[in-house]
Amino acid sequence: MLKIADLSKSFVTGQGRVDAVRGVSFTVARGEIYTLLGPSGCGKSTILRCVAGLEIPLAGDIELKGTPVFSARRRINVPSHERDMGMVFQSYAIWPHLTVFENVAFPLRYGPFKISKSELRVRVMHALKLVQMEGMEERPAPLMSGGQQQRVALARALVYEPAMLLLDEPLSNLDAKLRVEMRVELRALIKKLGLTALYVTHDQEEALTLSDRVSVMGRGKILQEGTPQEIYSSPAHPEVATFVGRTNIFPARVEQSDSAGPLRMAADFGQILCPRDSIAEPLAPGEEVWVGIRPEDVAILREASPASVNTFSATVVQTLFAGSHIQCELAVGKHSCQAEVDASGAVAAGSAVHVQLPPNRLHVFSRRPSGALPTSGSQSGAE
Amino acid sequence: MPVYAARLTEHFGLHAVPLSVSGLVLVALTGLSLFVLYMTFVPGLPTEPGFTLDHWRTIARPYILTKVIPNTAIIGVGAVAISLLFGCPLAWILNRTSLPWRNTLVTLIAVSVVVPGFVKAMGWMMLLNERIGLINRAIAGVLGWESVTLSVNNIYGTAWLMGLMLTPTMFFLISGPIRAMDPTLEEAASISRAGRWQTLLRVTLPLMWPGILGGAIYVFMTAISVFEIPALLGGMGGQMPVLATELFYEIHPPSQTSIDIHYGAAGVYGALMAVPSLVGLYFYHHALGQGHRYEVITAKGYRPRLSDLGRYTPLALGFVLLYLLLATVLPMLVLIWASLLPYLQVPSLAALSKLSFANYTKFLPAMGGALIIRNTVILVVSVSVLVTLLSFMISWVVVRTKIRWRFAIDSVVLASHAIPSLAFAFALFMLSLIVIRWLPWLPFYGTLGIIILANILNRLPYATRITNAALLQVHHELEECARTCGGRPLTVMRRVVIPLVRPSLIFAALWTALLSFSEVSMALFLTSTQNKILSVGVWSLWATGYLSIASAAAVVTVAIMGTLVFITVGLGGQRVTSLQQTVTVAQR
Amino acid sequence: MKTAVAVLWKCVVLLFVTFALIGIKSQPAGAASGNSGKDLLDKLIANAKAEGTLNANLRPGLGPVIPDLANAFKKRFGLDIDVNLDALTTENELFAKIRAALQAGAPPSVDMLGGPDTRHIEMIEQGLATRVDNWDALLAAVNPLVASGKVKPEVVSPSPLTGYSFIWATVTKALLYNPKLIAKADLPRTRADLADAKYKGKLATAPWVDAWQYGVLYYPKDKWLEIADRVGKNAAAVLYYAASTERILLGELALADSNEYYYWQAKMKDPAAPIGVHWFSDYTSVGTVVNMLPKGSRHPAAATLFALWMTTAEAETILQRAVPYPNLVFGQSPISREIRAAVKGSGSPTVTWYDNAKTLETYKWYGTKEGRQYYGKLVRALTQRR
Repeated sequence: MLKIADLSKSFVTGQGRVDAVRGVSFTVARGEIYTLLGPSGCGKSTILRCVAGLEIPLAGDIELKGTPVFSARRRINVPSHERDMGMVFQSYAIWPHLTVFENVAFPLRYGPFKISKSELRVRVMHALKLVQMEGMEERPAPLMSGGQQQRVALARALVYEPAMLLLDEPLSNLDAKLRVEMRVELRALIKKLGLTALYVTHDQEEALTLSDRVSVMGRGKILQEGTPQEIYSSPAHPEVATFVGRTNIFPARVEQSDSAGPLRMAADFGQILCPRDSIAEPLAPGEEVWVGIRPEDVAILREASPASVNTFSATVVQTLFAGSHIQCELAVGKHSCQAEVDASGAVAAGSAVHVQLPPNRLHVFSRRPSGALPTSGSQSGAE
Repeated sequence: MPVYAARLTEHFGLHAVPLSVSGLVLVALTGLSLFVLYMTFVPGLPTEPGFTLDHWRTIARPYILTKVIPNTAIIGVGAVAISLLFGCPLAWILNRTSLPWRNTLVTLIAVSVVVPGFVKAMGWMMLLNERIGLINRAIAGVLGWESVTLSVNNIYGTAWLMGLMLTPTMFFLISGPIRAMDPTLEEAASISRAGRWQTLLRVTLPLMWPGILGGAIYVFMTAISVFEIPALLGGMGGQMPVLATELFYEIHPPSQTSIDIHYGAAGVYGALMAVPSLVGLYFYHHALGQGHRYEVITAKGYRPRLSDLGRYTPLALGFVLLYLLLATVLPMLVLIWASLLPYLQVPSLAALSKLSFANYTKFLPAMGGALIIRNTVILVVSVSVLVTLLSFMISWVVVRTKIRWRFAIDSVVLASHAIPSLAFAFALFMLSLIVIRWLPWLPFYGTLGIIILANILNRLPYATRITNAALLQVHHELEECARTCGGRPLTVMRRVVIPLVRPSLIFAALWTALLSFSEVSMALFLTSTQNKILSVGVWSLWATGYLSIASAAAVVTVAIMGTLVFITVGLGGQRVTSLQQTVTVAQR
Repeated sequence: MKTAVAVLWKCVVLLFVTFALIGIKSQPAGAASGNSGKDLLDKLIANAKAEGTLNANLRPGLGPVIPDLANAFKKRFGLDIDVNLDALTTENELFAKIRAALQAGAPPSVDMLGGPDTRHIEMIEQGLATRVDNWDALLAAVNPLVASGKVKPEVVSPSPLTGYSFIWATVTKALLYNPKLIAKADLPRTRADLADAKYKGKLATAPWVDAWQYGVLYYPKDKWLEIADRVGKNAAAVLYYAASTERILLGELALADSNEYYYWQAKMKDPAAPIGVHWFSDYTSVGTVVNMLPKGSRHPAAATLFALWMTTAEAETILQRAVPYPNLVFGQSPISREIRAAVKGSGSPTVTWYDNAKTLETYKWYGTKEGRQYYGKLVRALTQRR
């Protein structure tokens, strides 16, 4: 349905030239919900706006339903109002001088459609029904709550049955509980209507629950593309690992070892073993790497059994009760390590324990491409 | 569409028309300003070459340095002080409290600008003059004194009157920031146990200071370029000279040392008047920091909190009424009084016996008939329509596009207000002479067109403040959404943008109409036998000894304009007066 | 038979020759030249018809009689052209702009310029005025007073403005005062007396000083300047005549160095108005109001006709219906006579620039560089603008 090839876009700001999007390519299949996930400034919104025709890329191609809507090389640019897309904006963009009905009817009235008045009414009411807003059509738009406005925005984007639906962080202005509910509803609605959607968000939980496929972006590039499971369980990049879910990252160096046995790495606090087949690329001895492990995979043991591998002594710094689990912050050597344990595994702050990093849950990343460790070390995908 | 062209149309395209128009305006304003400056270096006629610094050297004489410039400063600062004194409380009372009849009161404030300046001056002379002032007599009577030496016929009295007259301008300039202020900031103050007055002084006022500073600078610029009031109250000699009267002198011989217009000196005075204003503007922009933007209000139903005045309601109402009394009611009463008498007299029984409506039948023939009305209507309508259109387009470029020099456009438009309107009119006159030599078929020299042009350029600074604010309020996503919904650019403009900014556009048009209607100093300079307008007619009648007939004409015109304002506000509903909120001076 | 035909033929020839001789003899003198005033006038009228328009300015206050003036003018010459008369712009405002236009090479915005004669000498000397050819013949053809010989052409268009400017009214400067604020006995006798300290703060002067220019005829130049300076310091304000008259009527001002016309205007509004007129005993200046054609006038024939017609008694009667502009030089209307008598009765010596050689010389002197500088000093002294 949508094909993006080598898209690039840069802006000139007060600080100089900023490359917002750097040679991004991906494809969205028909009926798929494809999400661009990443922190602010990673270029995801820019890509969406390029697809919508609100920005003009520097280079690349955009194809919708097999027809190019933008091509730098072939000098093609189809303006926004001629692209068969519907868009839901972050601020909902509900026009305050129109009623709910008039808002939703706008595309049918002023777009390239020729519809009779009665058919217009039928379609608008149908769209409102889809989002459960029937009965509100005569309300002036500004008198609605955020959630209601969001539904109207959605209805407006759906009313003319576009080939593609674009959503720019549509849930970020809702309160937490509503957000969780709307996620489910939104996915159900899109699937029910058989729509193709390109979704942009910085909320990794949203991305994971809602999408068929996710592209994690950072600094204008796609870091990893895959299903939510793939992204989560096999992050290809430390940035992905720390953005999607939380991951503890430790620096280590590959040690000499035979090619048959497990990979041995030396970290400050001890030796880490890792099965060779869980590493994506071959690593040479002496190479610097990052070792990552998710907090929920970290096991806390009171005593170390001599048979367990990857066990290191640690001190509990603090514990936080988070309802379904307990978050522990530990000090391992001079590193900080987050662990999640269920309520029964509570440990007291200040006590000496052992942490075990199960080898098959480790993620190892080479430090070759770009050395900097993202500073959002072990937090979930926040801005 | 070719990509590089597409990129151009990202900026241009829809923006092509506004961009070229803004470019034209930029060229016109810069050109005129530079021409004024150029005149100061040329020894004689600006059409003849030469270079001299003599004109600049003439400023360095004691008369200028010890009398003219200090007097001008007093008027400027005094007018700012008075207009702040009235304007700030009025803006707060009429925008942030629940005072009854707010809309009517605001409309009355707006209408007061239509009363001609000379009437307000004459009126105040009848009120506050050592010999004949009614207030003086009242005070003397009460206190048992012989007389009260309080007079409006000096520089301080002039500053007082200028301040009163410019309060509406200040009011509308501050109303914007006051309404736009986040009420939670005040709520935070009151939660921390600060009383209402404390909140006002320590939270509201400091947050308002950029808006207030902007208003102060604008009022200063206007106050020092007005000439009728100081000329009327202090005379046209060396007793109370200010830069504006000196400029008037240089271009209106033979009250002059020679028979010719002193182009150089006129330019110098014009430049002198511009300097403090430009300095003030520059300081203002940089004090706010680079790239400062005012908060954008999205379409989320922003409601400012209205304070309930409670037992202070009569006090607040009294304050508003007091201002209206001083600034509008009393001059209007004098106007009506003067129009009913053969000549202006202090109220007395003898005077009462002479009241009649004779002057009302005389003013139209005295001004040469209906042609003057036709000219005035053409002027007011074309100026307000064109100014609204132009300022909308300029604001579009400044607010909506990403052109690098859009800030330059905005700054030039605003800064052009620093140059006194008289100097502008004068430069236009000189240009028209040059034009008619090379393009004699162009209807410019001596026509209504040149007055229209002068008024358009004069009113753009203020109108663009209104339209800047209006466009800033329209979140860009509202437009983008319309585009993605299939709306062509023109449709988006028509169905989304214009409806949202329409109240502001109406207000801009109305305000422009009122001010161009009553503008007299530029028109007086550009007037010829064919392009007479009402404001010039009224002034001329007054200047030649027909004050009473002029007053009758003025009463009629005030009535007409007042009705127009009320009708417009009535039709536009609350949305017109509530959207004079949207004016702030320096917005990016 | 042949002889009879011959004789008949001779008689016919004789008769023919006789009649021819009689015909030649009875032709009026000068008919062959075609330069009589009437012919010139007819040519002028024809040109004016071709021009089709006239733009001219009048003195302020004449607004209500503009239609009457225009119609009477058109009727007099059988014209059916567009006559635009402007009674709102004063010559003061127009003059400098016309000069600027002419100096820049642009055409003047009026075809005929009317106003006080004070600066006309400079216009003529700088070649910015148009001379009317055969002006005397044309004047005689237009103005019955001149044709009858009652008024000499040189009186209507005196030297040095001869042929350029034509008088139609006069401006007589006098002192206006409020009798309730100052007694007649306390009024200054001469213009110079205004410098006396007792008038400090009671007096208004005007921004223009034409009345004071005549002072150099009676006082030494330096002394006059000194007097002017003291008068300037005495002035409470410098105001338009209209404004100072208002302030007198309001009771706020005692004296105004003004133009007697404003006294008459006030009395016309209300005979009981608290204002009086006083004539200085050293001199009363009678400035003339003239019409002239600026250089490059776009409709010169129509302008000439109007300029000449304004000098007539017919025009005088019409315009005095609106405003009592007197013509003290040769005006015949009751108003002109009355004012002339009033001035004469006061005993104040009147003076115009065209009275004698000395006045003419001084008038011309004001047009020279030295004279202009003196004028500048005079202005600065009286208005106290340095």
